[in-house]
Amino acid sequence: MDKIIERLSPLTEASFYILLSLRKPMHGYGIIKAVEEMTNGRLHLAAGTLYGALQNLQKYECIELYSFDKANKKKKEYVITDSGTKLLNYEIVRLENMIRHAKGYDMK
Amino acid sequence: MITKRKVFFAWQADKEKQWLEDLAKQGYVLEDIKLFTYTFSKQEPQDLVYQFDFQILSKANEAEYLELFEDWTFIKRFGGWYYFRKPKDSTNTNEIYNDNISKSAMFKRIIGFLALVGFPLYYQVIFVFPNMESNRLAYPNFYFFLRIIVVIFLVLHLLASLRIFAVYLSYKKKISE
Repeated sequence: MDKIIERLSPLTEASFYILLSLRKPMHGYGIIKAVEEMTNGRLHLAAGTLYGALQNLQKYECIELYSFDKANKKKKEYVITDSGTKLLNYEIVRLENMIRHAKGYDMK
Repeated sequence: MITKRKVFFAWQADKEKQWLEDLAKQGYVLEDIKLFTYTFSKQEPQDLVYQFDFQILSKANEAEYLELFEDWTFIKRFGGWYYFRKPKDSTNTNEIYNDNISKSAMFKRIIGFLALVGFPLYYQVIFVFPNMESNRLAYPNFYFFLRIIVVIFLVLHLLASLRIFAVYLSYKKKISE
């Protein structure tokens, strides 16, 4: 697990939002839409970038294919794994710390 | 349908995109692609964006991959190249890669592919030809012509490798900044 964190943290913006979306199973194009919605259209995951990130997260077993209904499964769905959740939690704490350290910084 | 013949090399992707986008403005929309041959349908003049991706995919992975391109029209796979187009819009959705990591990763895949196909070329030139008896390489023997063809491909390969490696390094540099 530490190895995954060492290798993948800090997460790219794309990977961070993919993990965040995949707390519930979703097919690939659904992730694009979910992230757009979550960020009010600020972040659009480009299809090629998303594919690369999905492959990479699968390689490190942070996400996996979710086969709820194999027979009726037209589109592949992905879902976060336990390691993925640990990585995401680690990342959220890291980001929270960064924000905390920056508190009191005068943005002017 | 009209057909145009044109040669673009792998490192000229930007030029190729520009050419296709200019043709779309005249109403020619790319429908099919074969070696040096582009086929267009005649439509209304329009603003399109074209994007090319390099992927070596199994049939199963290809389906999974193409599912992500719902916003795009998949035109054709040509070798390892996937051709996509869509109407240009004013938002940030006109690219299939929008971070430097994924851009550099594509060039890394091309380099891997070039290394694989390049190996037999270099092997021929470095090990096979020098150890051949000179009369077998003389005109008009088979190996005389083979050597010319191999050397032409090797020069192209070398050129492609250097260009693509330079692009790869430029993205790599952006990542570390």
